[in-house]
Amino acid sequence: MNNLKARFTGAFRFWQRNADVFRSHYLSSVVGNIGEPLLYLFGLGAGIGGMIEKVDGIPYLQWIAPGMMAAAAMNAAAFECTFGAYTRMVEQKVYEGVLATPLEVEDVVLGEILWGATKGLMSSAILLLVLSALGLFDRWASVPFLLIEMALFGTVFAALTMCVTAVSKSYEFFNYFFTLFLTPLLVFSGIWFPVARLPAWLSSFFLIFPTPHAVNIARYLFHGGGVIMPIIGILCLAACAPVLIWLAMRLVRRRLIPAP
Amino acid sequence: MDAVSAKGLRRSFGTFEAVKETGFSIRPGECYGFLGPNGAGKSTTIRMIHGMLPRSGGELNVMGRDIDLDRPAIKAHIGVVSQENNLDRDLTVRQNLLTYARYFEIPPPEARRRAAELLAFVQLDAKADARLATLSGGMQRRLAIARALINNPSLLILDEPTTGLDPQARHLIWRRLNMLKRQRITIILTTHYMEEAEHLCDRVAIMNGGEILLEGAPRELITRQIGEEVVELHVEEGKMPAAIEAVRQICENYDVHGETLYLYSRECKKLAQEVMRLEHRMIVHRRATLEDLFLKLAGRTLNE
Ligand SMILES: Nc1ncnc2c1ncn2[C@@H]1O[C@H](COP(=O)(O)OP(=O)(O)OP(=O)(O)O)[C@@H](O)[C@H]1O
Ligand SMILES: [Mg+2]
Repeated sequence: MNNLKARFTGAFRFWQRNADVFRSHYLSSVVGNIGEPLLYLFGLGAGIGGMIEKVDGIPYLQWIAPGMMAAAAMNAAAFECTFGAYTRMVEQKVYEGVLATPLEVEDVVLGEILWGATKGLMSSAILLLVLSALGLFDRWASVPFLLIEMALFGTVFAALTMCVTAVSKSYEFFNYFFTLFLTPLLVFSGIWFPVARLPAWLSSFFLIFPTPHAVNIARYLFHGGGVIMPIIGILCLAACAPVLIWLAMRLVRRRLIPAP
Repeated sequence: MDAVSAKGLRRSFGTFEAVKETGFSIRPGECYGFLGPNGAGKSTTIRMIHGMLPRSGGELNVMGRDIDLDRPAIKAHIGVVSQENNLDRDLTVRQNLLTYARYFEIPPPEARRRAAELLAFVQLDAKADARLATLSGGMQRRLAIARALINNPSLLILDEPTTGLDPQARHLIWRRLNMLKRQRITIILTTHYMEEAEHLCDRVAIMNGGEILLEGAPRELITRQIGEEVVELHVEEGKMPAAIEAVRQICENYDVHGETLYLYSRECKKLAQEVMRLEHRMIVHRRATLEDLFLKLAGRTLNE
């Protein structure tokens, strides 16, 4: 029990380290966080929104808003736990330095994942603010649930990308990861159009990834509707998180500490 | 109780045995050095001591406890300066110390006090708020030492603390390490500078190919293996065979490294006088050092 507490404190210490570094240059990060979704909203709203009146009875911009929130969380967590974590682990050998303190590999990995989730949560929360300011969101009762969801989804995605980072040989590898994995997820997760328009095998295949679930939950919290898919989504995300965290810990330990 | 004791300690990487069945015990308050050529297994050995590498076999107790069983608790009392720079480049000098202190759960006011103290100790107070990129190699090394001391360790482990530093920077680090020795902190270090080992270490272990060849106090080892003094003969090019021929008459214990002949004898004064009569560019008569011992071993067993 005492041990467990020490492990969580250790993870929190590493989280704090990342937060300290972030605080010294948060402004550039926040500008990007607000700017990018505004571009999308303006461009897509003017462009596609003009052609499409409504999806499922909801104006197009409102309809894509929850998916954009999930996408923001996903991107932020993925960037942090690929390029960011790889730099710390391999280039700067920060982990090696930390391992000479009472912290263990698992603490560092958990701290890193929680930090990735935090970045995801921040990005999506900022987007929610932007959406509210533009009048595209006003279901205030949903806010706490949305934030919890994004934190959970951020954790899942951070853990998933941490696994990728643990086996990555170089930065090049992440280019493949982003084009071959992240881009399809952005396209086929029901962010920009209903997955019902896709062949059934394709849309069901993508349900093995966390993103469509996160989009379903967020859309439910924005606009209501069918409750079954969101509930399945919550169960999937909640089940994936510990498994992926455990896997990330195993993989990073294997990479950093050569087995005897 | 020994600060560190190892028995039959082994470590392999795949099928390669980096450390083969070694044993040593390091006493509290002692400064113990691992010497040996590149790849001898020095870093591997000390990485096992501070829990960075699990061992393949044997026993390894650090402060009386098995390091692999009680790692976080033991690590709380160890300070480490590793061979490769792993300071946190995203943080300033002071932040490096404060953040590290947090990993040890040192309360912030205490951490700030220690950070200020340690920055003064390694003469980096003026650089406290500087970014790491603006620090020279010697400054970064000093910061690494300060960082390793933030938890008031009773065991300090330094892997090549002065490699690549200029003589002035090296001497500053030596003075600091000597101060720590006087505070009875156990120090384990590796080095390629024999002068450094002689200057700092109470005992040294000379490693090669994953094994400890010799162990003991530097002076004792030197006297035992070489004698008190050495005569060096710097021979002109092409005249080495003749020189060896001449020297052989007066001294049978000698080594050749490049253009230099090293003569070892219990009676070097007499030897030196005799050697003077041979005509050579330069003769040096001096006290034997660890470097002589190292070169002598290199001539025979150390594979470079
Ligand atoms: N992670 C590893 N995987 C495979 N081999 C390794 C690993 N670490 C060390 N070795 C091998 O073990 C041997 C001993 O390495 P070690 O780093 O302990 O040497 P060293 O005495 O510290 O040398 P140097 O003076 O160059 O630092 C070397 O042959 C090295 O190649
Ligand atoms: Mg080494």
